[in-house]
Amino acid sequence: MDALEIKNINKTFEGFNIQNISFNLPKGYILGYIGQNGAGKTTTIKLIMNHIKKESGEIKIFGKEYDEDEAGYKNMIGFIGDECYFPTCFTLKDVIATMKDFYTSFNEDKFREYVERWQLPYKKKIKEFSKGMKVKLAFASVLSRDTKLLLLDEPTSGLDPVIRSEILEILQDYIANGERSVLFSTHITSDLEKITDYLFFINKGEKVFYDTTENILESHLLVKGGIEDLTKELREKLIGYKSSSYGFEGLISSKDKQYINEHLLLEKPSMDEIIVFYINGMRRN
Amino acid sequence: MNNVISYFKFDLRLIKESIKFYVLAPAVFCALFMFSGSIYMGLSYLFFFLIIFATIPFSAQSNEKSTQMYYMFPGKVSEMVGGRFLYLISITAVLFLIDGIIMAYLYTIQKFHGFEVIVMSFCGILSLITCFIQYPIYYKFGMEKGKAISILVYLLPAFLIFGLPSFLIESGNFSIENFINSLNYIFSNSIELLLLAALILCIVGYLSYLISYKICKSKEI
Repeated sequence: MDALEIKNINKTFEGFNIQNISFNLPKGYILGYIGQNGAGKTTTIKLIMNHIKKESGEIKIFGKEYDEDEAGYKNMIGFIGDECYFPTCFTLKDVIATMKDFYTSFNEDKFREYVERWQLPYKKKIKEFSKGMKVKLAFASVLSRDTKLLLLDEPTSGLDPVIRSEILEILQDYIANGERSVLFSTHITSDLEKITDYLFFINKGEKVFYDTTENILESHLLVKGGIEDLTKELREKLIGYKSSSYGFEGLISSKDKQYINEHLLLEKPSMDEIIVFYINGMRRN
Repeated sequence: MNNVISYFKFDLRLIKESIKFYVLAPAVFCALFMFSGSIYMGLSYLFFFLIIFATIPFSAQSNEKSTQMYYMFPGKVSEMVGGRFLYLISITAVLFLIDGIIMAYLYTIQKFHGFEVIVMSFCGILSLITCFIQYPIYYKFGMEKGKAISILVYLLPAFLIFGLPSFLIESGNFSIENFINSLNYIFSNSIELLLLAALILCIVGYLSYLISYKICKSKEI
């Protein structure tokens, strides 16, 4: 049984649609959900959480649909967004009391451990917390109870590299027992290369690619050369490219390697470059 | 039921900051009326404040942008709505208790008579019905738009109060004799009328809960 199964979900908005999104996230893995701002990342997460209703398709978490067991479905999910969802008038005392009320699996000692570790102030109201503190609080509240699937909606945007790195380590620990999974939506691609096992790239509500991170990185090549080398034939084979009066740089699928002159420079692309050239190519088309 | 209570407790935690101000204002207001000799006005205002108290969780939820949190808790939507209705019932019970104790005291010292008790009871029932009508409106439109739409709810009884007499006079059905007869009818059947009002209250309350639940169930946040 997969941690998350999404089959052909569709949702129509004015001027924007989510179209036939399908993917599976097996247990014990991290899936990076990537795309530009407004590509449909948050919408997909909201569809998974049933905060917006799908028009068609199927969403299952550990084999369970939302309508089968509303409370049980929500209990399996730990959500962390880029904004704090706790009321800003709350102190940590209120957070603890609320967590105790709603979650039987809430471990107060574990929560306090995180609070001590991240030096979150007990007496201050959340509105006085910094952005980093708010994200840490969200993580502390989610990690101190039994969840099976973490849905992260750009939680690291706006955080300094030290906290980001710490959070990435926490995510790796989280999936270590092989029973839990993470869907991590972000546009900070350097984070994705470090920890994701699968990548789903969404653009304008449609799938661009979905594969293991390893396959994606290995199945693309970065080509560099002079402007005279950018022939019509090569241009057709490039997924995306940018050129100047001096030369060009583009992304090509590894299987199209034979179309490239031997004197052209080939490099392994970074995740950032793959995404940029895909978007670049889609804009040209 | 556990989750209903958890949602209720969450509501209380959310409003604990603002409720201090909300409680203080009506308390002073009602005390002023009572000490100045208008006990009747003071007690009816206390019921009026029920309508204001009832909306505090909606405004706190909106100000704190915590709607998403309500939907994220591992409870059913019916329990979430149930928690809010439990809050309404609780504050109603508190206000009815305060009014009831004062009325019982005034009745024993013969400052209040049967008529005043009946009128005050209907006043309380009408306030609660207004709250029941408001709740689905706030769930559907949120606090800001809901406030504007709620004005219509307040206008409706005003329209009836001012429009009905002139309609009756113009239609020729109104006379002082008929009016006195109606009052006599109310006095002689006060218990039955109060029971009928309570039944209507229960039906309106249940319908309000059902409509609120359906609105929340289909709501996209």
